[in-house]
Amino acid sequence: MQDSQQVCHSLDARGCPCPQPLIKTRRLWKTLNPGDRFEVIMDNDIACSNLITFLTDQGADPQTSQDGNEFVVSAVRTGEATQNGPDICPLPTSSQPVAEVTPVPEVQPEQAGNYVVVLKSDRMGQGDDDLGSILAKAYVNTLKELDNKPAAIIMYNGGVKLATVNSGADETLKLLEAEGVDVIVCGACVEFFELKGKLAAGRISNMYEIAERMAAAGHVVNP
Amino acid sequence: MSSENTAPAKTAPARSGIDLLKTVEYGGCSAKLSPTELAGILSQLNFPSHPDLLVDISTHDDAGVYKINDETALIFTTDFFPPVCSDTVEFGEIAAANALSDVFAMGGDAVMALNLMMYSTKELPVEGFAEILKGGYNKVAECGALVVGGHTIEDHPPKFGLAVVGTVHPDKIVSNSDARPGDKLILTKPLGIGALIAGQREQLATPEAYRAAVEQMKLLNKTGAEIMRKYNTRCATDVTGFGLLGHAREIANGSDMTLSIDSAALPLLEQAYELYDDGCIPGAAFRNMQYIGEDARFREGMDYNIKMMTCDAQTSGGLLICAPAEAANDMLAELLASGKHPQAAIIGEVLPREDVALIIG
Repeated sequence: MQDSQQVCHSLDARGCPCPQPLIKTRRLWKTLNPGDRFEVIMDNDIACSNLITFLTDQGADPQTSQDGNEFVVSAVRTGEATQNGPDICPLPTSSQPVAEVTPVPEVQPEQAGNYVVVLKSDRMGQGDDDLGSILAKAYVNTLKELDNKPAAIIMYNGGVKLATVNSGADETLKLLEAEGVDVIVCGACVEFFELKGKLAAGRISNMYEIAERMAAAGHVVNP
Repeated sequence: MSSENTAPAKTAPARSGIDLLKTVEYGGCSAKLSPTELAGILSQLNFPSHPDLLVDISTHDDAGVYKINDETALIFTTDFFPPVCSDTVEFGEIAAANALSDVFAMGGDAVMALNLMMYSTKELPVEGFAEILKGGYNKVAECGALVVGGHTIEDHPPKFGLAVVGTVHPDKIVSNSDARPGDKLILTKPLGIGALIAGQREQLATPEAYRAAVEQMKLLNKTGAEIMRKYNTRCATDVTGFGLLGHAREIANGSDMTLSIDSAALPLLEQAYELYDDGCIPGAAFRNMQYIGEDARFREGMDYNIKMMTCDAQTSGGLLICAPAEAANDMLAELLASGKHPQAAIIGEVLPREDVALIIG
């Protein structure tokens, strides 16, 4: 806006009910580089106040201006980069009334390695356990084919069985581990199922690390 | 398995075909009066006291408790709200489980209930009315209590809840103002109901995660309460619209203690964290956080989503139990063994009063 620093990204959240402006902003946030200046236009005062609270909490120094029923909040992206930020500048203008749907960048495929897979069971989905077991193995075995591999695979409860010898997923887990994917196995669960000595892949860890890793992940995939 | 098997569960709804969520204002950030505003209003009123009124409004407890004789005290409470899910019967069940919860949180048994219904048969098929009542009846019957009548007003969108009478022995009331140093804090249900309800509205929630949230809301706090009573619990509350911290603060201030909460130990519903991380944070969480204000001290650098999750508004949330230290592990084991509370967890402890009501580490 009138700021001397160039606003690089503009988000039009007019007509969007709460909490959509925040959802759009957080998605944009994750695509920005630290230091990028951006602005959000909206017409919902509660959503605006919540967005300001969020941005203040992030130390993003939000500045608000109001024109009639419209609010413009501008702020600076702070913190660590959540991914290899694309250096695109999508919406240099804010004066055009844009339709309700705003072109927020979709989750970028190049967010490689910014997600964590959590295997909480040796089955995938509900309906039939035999099918679930096949699917779980197929899922793990498919992971090695993906270009976008997870930063870590966390296994707990029944999920730890996938890391045991001859589980059908053990070879792939070893392979992924060798490729740098952090394969983490819940120690308490290994003890519970008495699987000590039967693990083919992964390193034993505790709930603290598991909680930290999930909290720090860009996103968590629960297949 | 086959699609025939999964289809009915997925479309589960609406015998009458009503989708209740379509009746409520889309994305409404507030169905409830803000707690700050409510506190302001209540402070202007003079509530009478009485020697037999054992628990009154002054400690923001879950219900009023009135002593009839040395053996029996009445617990009296109510709650109602607009739809939080699509299915009519399930909405009735959730609203009833939520209203009954106050009786359980006080350590009592539910005896009878009145339906409070607002429903417009001009706007919606009359079948929906019956289905909501049926859901409510299911839950009242499940805890062995009686529906003895009710009252209906023509209004749209629908609202439903109960006024409930329960009983408790006057010496065995579980209040929200008798926490003692060393008590362990047990939370019986995972947090994140608000996240999943909003996520469902925004079509971000997975069917499985949303289903799990609905099942949590329908789950009575009866079993949890029976277990806490067995171990002579003196102090507990249920976690509802003001979020974990809002209700924890009532315990802290009512007991003149400080509650220390370990954020890493908080049980969360599946996908709740991811939804918050995606910005799907309901307005109620911000309102609750604002209401908490300076009464909570968060660990420096705490994960933002977890911090906000401590203020996520729960509908028909779990019990927050101040478990006597020596009984806490047994109580937790029994909760887990009950099969109804697989995510019950010890989430902190009660400390002698410090400079703030709540410390979140």
